[in-house]
Amino acid sequence: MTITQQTSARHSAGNRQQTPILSLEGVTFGYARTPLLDNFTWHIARGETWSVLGPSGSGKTTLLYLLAGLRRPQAGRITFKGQAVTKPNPAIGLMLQAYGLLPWLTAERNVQLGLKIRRVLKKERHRIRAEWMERMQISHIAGKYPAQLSGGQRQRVALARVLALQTEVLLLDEPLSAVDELTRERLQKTLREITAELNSTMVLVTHSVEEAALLTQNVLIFPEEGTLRASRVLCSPFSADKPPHRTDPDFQAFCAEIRAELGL
Amino acid sequence: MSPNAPAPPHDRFFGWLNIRAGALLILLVDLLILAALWHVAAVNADSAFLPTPGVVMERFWEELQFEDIHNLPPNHLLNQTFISTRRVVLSVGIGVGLAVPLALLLVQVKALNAILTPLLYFLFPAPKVVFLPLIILFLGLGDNARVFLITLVIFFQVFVIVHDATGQVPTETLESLSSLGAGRWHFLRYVYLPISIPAVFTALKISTGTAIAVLFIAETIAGRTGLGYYIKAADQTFVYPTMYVGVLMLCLVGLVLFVFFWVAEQYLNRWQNSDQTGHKVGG
Repeated sequence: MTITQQTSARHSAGNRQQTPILSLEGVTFGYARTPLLDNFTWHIARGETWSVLGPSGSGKTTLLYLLAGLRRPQAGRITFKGQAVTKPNPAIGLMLQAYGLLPWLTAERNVQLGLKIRRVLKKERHRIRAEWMERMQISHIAGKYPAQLSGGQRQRVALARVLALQTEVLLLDEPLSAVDELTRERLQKTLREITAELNSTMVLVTHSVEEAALLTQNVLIFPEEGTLRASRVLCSPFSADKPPHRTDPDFQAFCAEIRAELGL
Repeated sequence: MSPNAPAPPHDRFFGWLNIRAGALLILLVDLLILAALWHVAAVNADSAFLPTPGVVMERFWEELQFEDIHNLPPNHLLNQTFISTRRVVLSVGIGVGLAVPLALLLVQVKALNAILTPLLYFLFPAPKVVFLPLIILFLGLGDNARVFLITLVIFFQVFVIVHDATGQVPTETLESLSSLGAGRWHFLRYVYLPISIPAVFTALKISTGTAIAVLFIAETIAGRTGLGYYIKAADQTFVYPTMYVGVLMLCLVGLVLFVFFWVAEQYLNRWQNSDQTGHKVGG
């Protein structure tokens, strides 16, 4: 079964059906000895939230790079609102797994970097920066340099930096992997609120089944071996009106479903 | 504690100036011990070649005296010091001013880099000092020849160090900036310039020593100007304490420049000196 068939099946079952905001059509990509995507087709509708789960090295990060315009497909087409993606687009925000913070800028300057590049006026820039640092609970480390921060703090700085841009599409590569357990639960809740509030389209690469189930409506599963061709998609039984809760039996069941797909 | 480890904030002169008061005291004691050893050696050697530090310091003081600051004799210590310092500062300024922009340009423009960089690296190890007689032939005995030679030496050193450092920016840094929508100017402003600053200072600190060495050679080989000549003249007229004064002064010029670059580096490089204890260092 191909991914397109599966998503449209789910969509016709009640979700809004519209032209996709991001599309991969017959995309093939790989590195010298590791083919990753093979004639892969995937459509993401506006406002949809997706998780990408799968083993390490299966190409999840590469998929984000392709969507962000940092890599070009070897065959096939990637489009954003119908236009071919050939370079980074200001409407698509990306948070790298390695955070990509600049070591010579303080946390607050890192957070406002994208705004500065976009020529947001100083006063507005400071307001937005303060707001997102507050939401990511990093206001107290504003003046510190990345080398002085813990992995989790750096991650939150990187997350605040991409969220502050309020882009239409958010591509997040394991955004909370280094954050401590308590903070992670709080930030997961915050992320949920944010995506609902901004109605942003999100693709989240993660290693956590719970995170996928909690934060996104759709889960794309990368195969154990071989290239991603016709991959498996699971859809969450939850919606904005009925948010998932960790203790909910439906939530547990959904997690179990994902685990089964992953072969766990 | 290793010399590179940041000093705790309460023990610093200024927040960003990573220096311990205790370390300065130790340096002072070290210098006194060195002077004492020199004194003992001089007394025992009892040779005209090796005056005691006391004699040299006395001569230093005498050589500093003048009647009219605006009309110093040509070979006056202050006059020659000024000439030499001016040459070094000019050369370092021009050398850095040419090398840094060129290195930053080449790192970003791949086609130019492919054409020019191999040649520049090829020329780097060539000993420039041996061209001095030629340079003097073309540029004469004045400042120009000396400044040109030192600039040449500094240029290659700074170029190679800065080019190496800026060529090693992690891919994720570039990609994350690129995904934020950065253009060429942003890469320069937020990546290449900041990453080149530590390299420039490393180059400057190393080059100061080289510059003064080259200056000395350039000033002894011909002409009657600069501390190099001052030292040579004293040597040839057997006025050994004066020769020592010249040598000390040249060391002092090097030291002052070195300290100046070091302080500037500490200030501009605050992000590298930020300590792990969580104290905000500098502004």
